[in-house]
Amino acid sequence: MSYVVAAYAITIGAVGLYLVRLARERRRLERELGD
Amino acid sequence: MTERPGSRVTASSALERFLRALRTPSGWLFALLFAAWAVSVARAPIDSVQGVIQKILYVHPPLAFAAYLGFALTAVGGALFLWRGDESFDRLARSAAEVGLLFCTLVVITGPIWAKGTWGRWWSWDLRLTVTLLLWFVYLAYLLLRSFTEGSERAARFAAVYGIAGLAVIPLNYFAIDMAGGRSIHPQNLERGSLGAGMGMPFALGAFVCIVAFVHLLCRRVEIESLRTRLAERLMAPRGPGARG
Repeated sequence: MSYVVAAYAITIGAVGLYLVRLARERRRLERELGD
Repeated sequence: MTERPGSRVTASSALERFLRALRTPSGWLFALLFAAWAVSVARAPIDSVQGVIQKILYVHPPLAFAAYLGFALTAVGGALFLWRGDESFDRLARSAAEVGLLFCTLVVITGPIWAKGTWGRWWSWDLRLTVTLLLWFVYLAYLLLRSFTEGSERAARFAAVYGIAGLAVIPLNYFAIDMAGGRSIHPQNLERGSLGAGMGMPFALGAFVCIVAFVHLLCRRVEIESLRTRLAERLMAPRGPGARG
């Protein structure tokens, strides 16, 4: 069971982190373009 | 690189406007499908041979489908960039490669987790596993090339050709088990009816979730690439008493 949890947690976590990174980068670029 | 004048700029805006419009609906669709998939995986029957670890099936191959889509779009974007000279296609190719590599990385991580639980070891130099690792390195090299040669049109053209050539690894990866001629320890590719009762729905949902997640991430990634280009253009624009910005 722990292998299954690990596989799903890593997948969901990685996609979530990537989404957060993209959102932060977008906000930063929009801020720079707004200046 | 700077935008070319005329119709190329219009085409560039059209593609990026379309992806921007797709961002919010794809996000909602992803959230809905994800919830349905989570319930479906939890309710899926336990495999009589492998036990509960077989549930990795509902995420491992779908991640590979999304990675294949990313790499195919890298080639399509590269080909369109070479053909039309429109930089939005280059931005699409680069973004698709990055998102595709994320999914390929997850394939390379979830596979060994499944292998450890069933074969008792994390890795085997089996043809399918080896070619998957090769595929990962091919697109890692693509992204490294892009990051080391930022802004160079010549590098963008080379990367487009590289991205098209890299596509050859996908069929090699998919058919590796058949090519191994029965010597592969990796399970066969799924065929219609090869899944047990109650396993088709979570698998199909898993495939949809990964494809929609890929599309959503791609929309966001292309938007960033577009913002970076706008920022670079603004920084390069002449400044002075008569200049705007």
